[in-house]
Amino acid sequence: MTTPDGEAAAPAVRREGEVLRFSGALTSLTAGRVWREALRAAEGAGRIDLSGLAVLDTSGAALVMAAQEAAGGGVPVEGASRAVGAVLERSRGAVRAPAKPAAAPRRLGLVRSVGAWGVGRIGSAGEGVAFVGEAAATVVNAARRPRDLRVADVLRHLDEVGTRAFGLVALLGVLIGVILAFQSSIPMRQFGAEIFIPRLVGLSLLRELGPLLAGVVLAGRTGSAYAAELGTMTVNEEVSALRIMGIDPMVLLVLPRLVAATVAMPVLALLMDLAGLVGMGGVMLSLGFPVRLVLNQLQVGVNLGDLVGGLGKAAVFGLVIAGLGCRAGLSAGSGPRAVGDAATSAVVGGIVALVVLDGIFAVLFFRLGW
Amino acid sequence: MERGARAGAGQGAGEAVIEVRGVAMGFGGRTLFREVSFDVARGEVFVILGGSGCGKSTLLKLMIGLLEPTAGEVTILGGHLASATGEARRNLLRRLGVMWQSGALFGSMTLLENVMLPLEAHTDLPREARESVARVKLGLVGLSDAEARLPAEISGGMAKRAGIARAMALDPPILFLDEPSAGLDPVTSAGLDELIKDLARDLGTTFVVVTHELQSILAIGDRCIMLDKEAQGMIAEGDPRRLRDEPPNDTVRRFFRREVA
Repeated sequence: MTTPDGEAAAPAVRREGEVLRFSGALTSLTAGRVWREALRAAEGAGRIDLSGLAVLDTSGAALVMAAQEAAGGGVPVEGASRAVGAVLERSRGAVRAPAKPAAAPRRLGLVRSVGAWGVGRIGSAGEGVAFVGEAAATVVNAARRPRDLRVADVLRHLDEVGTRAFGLVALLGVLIGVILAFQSSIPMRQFGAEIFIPRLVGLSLLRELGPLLAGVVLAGRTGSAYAAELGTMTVNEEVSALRIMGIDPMVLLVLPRLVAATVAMPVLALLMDLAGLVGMGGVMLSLGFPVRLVLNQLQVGVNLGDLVGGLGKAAVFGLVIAGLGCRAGLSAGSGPRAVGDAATSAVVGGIVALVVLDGIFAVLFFRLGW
Repeated sequence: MERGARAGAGQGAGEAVIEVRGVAMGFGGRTLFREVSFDVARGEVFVILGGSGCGKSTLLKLMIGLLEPTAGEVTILGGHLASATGEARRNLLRRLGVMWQSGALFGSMTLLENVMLPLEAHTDLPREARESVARVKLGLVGLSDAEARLPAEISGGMAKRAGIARAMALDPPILFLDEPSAGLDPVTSAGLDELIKDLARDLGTTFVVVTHELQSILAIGDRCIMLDKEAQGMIAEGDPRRLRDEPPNDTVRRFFRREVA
């Protein structure tokens, strides 16, 4: 015997001839001790005796029903007290209740799976194109009617995207400059060409690495934040509420973010460039080259076009990364995973887009002879 | 009708399973309620009622040890959840079930897996046994045909019922339900009330229900207390039907007659 909610007496199961006897307390906390033994003992039993059962809850009832099943189905269950019988009957009723088989997801064959994936991708690409079109129309409209642009929101996002990322970008820039200069000094020393390190690092940073690394920072910091913020709003139906109120989410939510990221990215790239050059300068000083010589080499090796080309690329990177983040957020599904999925998609999509765009720019600049 | 196996096998109804003594709570210097005292007897459906913002859900959180009162104490099944630690706390927790207002189901798990989770944490049932037990619980709340669905794929009423199934996973002697009828249509709400009455009758479970839905209160409540924002505490205790017919004060009368103050 047990108290109803105290530590239960040990359950016991015994096979005596054709009778399977349960005794003690058969509850969710104790049934596990005899579950397998009971099912083994139940095989071939002619009836089940519950007269020794002091306590039965619905978990215990599940075991009695499973034992009855193992014994071959309709074997009689006898000796239950009124209380035990009531719980057993209630549990039986629950399992008998409209027992449509669980709708298992239909398995698709390999070809169909690939097809379904392809159709899904095409649909998603179509939505992406629609988003780009919508965003472009919003930007054009805002250019025509600048008062549609909420300046306060733009400033808030500029702070979040730009000023709050300055520390991280400066730190990364210095470290990248140091690493590039130090690593290139090793092979260049063999040819006595260490003096050209400023040209090498300067060109790499201004044309490629500055905008690219600032873009990675933007994708990780801001793209994911945009996706999570807008994804949460979508999941909470705030975006639907805006639409129903006749407020275009593209204007209220997306446009300020696009503008902020497009404006802030060249600044971040410039900061990355300058910090990298400072890091490189430190290494050159440690190698014994005076500052004037380093600056002279930079002036000869790097021109304004390199800097402007890099910053222009950075602005495009900012626009695309912010757009991808916003789109991931606005197309978030439902449920708690949706926001996480949106953030992941924004970061992965942002970084992939960054590299693809950089490749396109490389070809473009080459063709244009820049 | 005789209460279920638990009550039938052990101590009878009437014994207090929860004792709340002189409890006070407030946030940021503002008192929400004070000097709240009552007992919840084994096997009864006990309702905490009151208007919005009077502290009903906060009182529930105090009772299950999620919040500590600023004064007074709560004893539940002879223990103090707020101060219990280690195995003593685990022992107390597995004898309670809570259904949260929104269901609080885990979105990445099917309903069956949601119900299996407490069984995995607190019992040594093998996997197939956990599945069988979880199916019984889902059947008890009428969700046998939805066991493979994710929470995002079911309605609000189904989520609440699945929340009850998960709360019942360990057959706890006490179930706490936070606003079980809120946001449900009258038919679903009435179905949920029926379910609560059936479970209390057949399984001998003690229910503590927080609600302000009049019909539910009258349909399921054996006893209730009423909290009031203005009075910052309890203003009535007893059988809800009796409180409706013989209100002890104006606030209770207005509440049951849905009159504007």
